[in-house]
Amino acid sequence: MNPTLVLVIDDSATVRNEVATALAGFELLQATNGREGAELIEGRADIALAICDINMPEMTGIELLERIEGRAANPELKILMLTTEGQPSIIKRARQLGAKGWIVKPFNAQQLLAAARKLTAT
Amino acid sequence: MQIDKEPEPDPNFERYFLHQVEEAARALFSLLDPGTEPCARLAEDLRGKSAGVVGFFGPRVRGSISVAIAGGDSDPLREDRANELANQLTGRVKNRLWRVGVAYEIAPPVTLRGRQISITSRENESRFCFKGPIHTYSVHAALDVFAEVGMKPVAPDETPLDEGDLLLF
Repeated sequence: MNPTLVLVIDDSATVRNEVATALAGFELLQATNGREGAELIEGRADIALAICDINMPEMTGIELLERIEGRAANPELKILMLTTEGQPSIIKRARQLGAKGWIVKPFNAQQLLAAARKLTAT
Repeated sequence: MQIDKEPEPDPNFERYFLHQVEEAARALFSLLDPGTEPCARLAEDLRGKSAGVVGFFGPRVRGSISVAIAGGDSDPLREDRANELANQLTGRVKNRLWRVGVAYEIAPPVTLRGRQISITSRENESRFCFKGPIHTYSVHAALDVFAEVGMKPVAPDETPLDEGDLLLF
């Protein structure tokens, strides 16, 4: 059985590496900004979960959610926001656009792993 | 577990802001680099090799927060780490200020690299230093208040999430 594919979208290599380390057992794909992430989400049906930052160059996480709404190659894709932002208004907006979760940085590795497993459970 | 009491909002917003930066930096570096403690004073060896600078702008305030890192010369991600620390620190301060009704948006980080990066402080700015097992951190915070701030606690349902909080919808 192939490992579940997770896309990490963050302009920080440090964060992408930390997420990869936390998600042992998953296969990881990386994007450095929202535009790259959106293109991968629209083009690949094997991505089960996207973990996405908010504040990124070229396209923010909210803009990514707006762009991919109804356009993800995998209709079962789950999106988890991983960001320094914590205001209720932006969380509400992300939820309205289809995000399935929110973690405020810095994240707890075990919590992130548990959330990824829960969101990708079939 | 001892929990420090959050100080009451200070009429002098600049001092309140700098206090939040210092406290947020202390908490962040301690979490990410266990054993990190505040430095008693600045020294030549605290001049950083990599620095991340993040600007912020809101309806009433604007400024920047920078994190310079020294040490960890073999760390290939030191520049990125400085950027991410500046980003996370500015985000932490943003959440803290949000609780008293002060908002700002954060710009993407800018990287500075060199042999000895030192950011000069002016009257309304401040610098804090922290020393960890591997890295030494120098935090510089600059603030410009261009409208009356009027700090006022936000309603409970407007309180932002804390660092590490997880919500599944």
